[in-house]
Amino acid sequence: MQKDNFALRLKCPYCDDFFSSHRDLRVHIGRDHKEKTDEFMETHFGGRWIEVDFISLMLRKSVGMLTEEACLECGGCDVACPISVIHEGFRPFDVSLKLLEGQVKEILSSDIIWGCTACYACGQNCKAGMPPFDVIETLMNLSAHIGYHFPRRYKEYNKSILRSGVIQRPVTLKMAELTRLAREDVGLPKLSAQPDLTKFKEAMRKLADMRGLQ
Amino acid sequence: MKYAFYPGCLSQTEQFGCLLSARETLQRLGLKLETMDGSSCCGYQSFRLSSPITWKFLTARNMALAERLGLDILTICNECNLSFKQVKKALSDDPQLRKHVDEALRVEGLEYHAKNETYHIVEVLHDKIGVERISDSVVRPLENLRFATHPGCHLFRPKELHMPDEAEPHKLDDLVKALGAETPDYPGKLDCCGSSIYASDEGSALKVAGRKLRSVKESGLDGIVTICPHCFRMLDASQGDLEDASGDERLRVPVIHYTQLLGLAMGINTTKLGLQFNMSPVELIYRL
Repeated sequence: MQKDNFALRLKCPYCDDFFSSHRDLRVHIGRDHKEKTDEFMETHFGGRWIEVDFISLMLRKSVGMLTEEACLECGGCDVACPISVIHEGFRPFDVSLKLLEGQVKEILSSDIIWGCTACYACGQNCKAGMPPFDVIETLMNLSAHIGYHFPRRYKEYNKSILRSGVIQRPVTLKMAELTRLAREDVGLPKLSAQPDLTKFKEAMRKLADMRGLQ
Repeated sequence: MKYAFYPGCLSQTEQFGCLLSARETLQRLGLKLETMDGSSCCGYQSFRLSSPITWKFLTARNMALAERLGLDILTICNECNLSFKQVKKALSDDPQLRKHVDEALRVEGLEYHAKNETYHIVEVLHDKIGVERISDSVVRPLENLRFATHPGCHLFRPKELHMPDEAEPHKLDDLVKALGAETPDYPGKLDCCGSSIYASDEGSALKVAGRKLRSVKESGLDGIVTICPHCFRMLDASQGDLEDASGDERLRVPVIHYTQLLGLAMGINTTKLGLQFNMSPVELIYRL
């Protein structure tokens, strides 16, 4: 019963029906508003079906399991969390509580969840076996995907991977040429060759097509 | 023993000390390391959060490259290692995901069959090479030194996965003790270094690292030994930023990567171990 709090509630833009999954909504549009299908796909998701489905599946799996019965509300995750004593505002227990109250959107629109270091310590004290880390990671995925928040430096990392195969922070990038020149002087070993960037990008594009992203 | 050597982005582009010392010591211990040409970032840091499928593809791609070489992977990074473990599990649990990943892999003519193992350097040093053989390789025992070991979260968590070390990690301690040094407990030993939020929230990351450094300093230990390039960077290179941010000069603590320490004990010269790249006062250790 608690699940209803955070089950997705998606309203059909063309009538007053509600749906609990993107898949159901899509099927509904295809069946009852056939003439609107293309418009809907374009305006609402830009065809991003696979990834949206994928993330909402994860959300249902991890968030859906978190119920008032399942979480003992002992606060053990907060005690174990090395960040919560330092970072004003980041409390794994708060995230769980807000979810139990169904405040998914509030969590997503604040940048609180981005304080999680994925150290997984919250799992050690969780007597209910419902550690917040899984839920938080899924919420980060969702937040990034919907476009609420995704830290700037991570965007740079992503770009760097697409450009060179590896993460090079901007400051390193500036020194890259210098490092390359100095590499032998300081006795650095030969590095592994870059991916064949043309093919690498093609594979990434293929994946993006599958995910329906640009 | 021959492995496909996967150092990860950080040690290849920034933390050269970790890479240099790992290669030098592993090879002297008789390991053959095959370079993984064409490998890329594992995607754990950024793509894991923005596009889980891309992350899983990138990691699977690296595993497929190692399969092509017919070798097990040896990584020196806690995050890459966790990435391999998580993605392996995800791919075996989710046929749909596997299908998408396989399709993208085919573009580069790669295939992933989950045939090869992935190992963290601690597993190789502790379980394969063995503490005894490491102890035998020591020519300059590190006597009278007391270190704070920092295994790093992803060496032993999450407990649901088969991680390189147990829930009460001891392998890094065993390895340091094999060199003749002591590793007393200190408060917050198993706490996070803060590195994972360095990109999203630098201020908090520095505070987390500062707490660790303070704890080590107050325990009166000679320095910190890390085994993950991310923890190493956070604890070693951020000391200057931390000093600027907090105005607290007392947080200067020598930080040394395990393979650098191993190299010192094996009598390898400091340049070959990349000790010139450490930013903390590491000379306090090797001059002792």
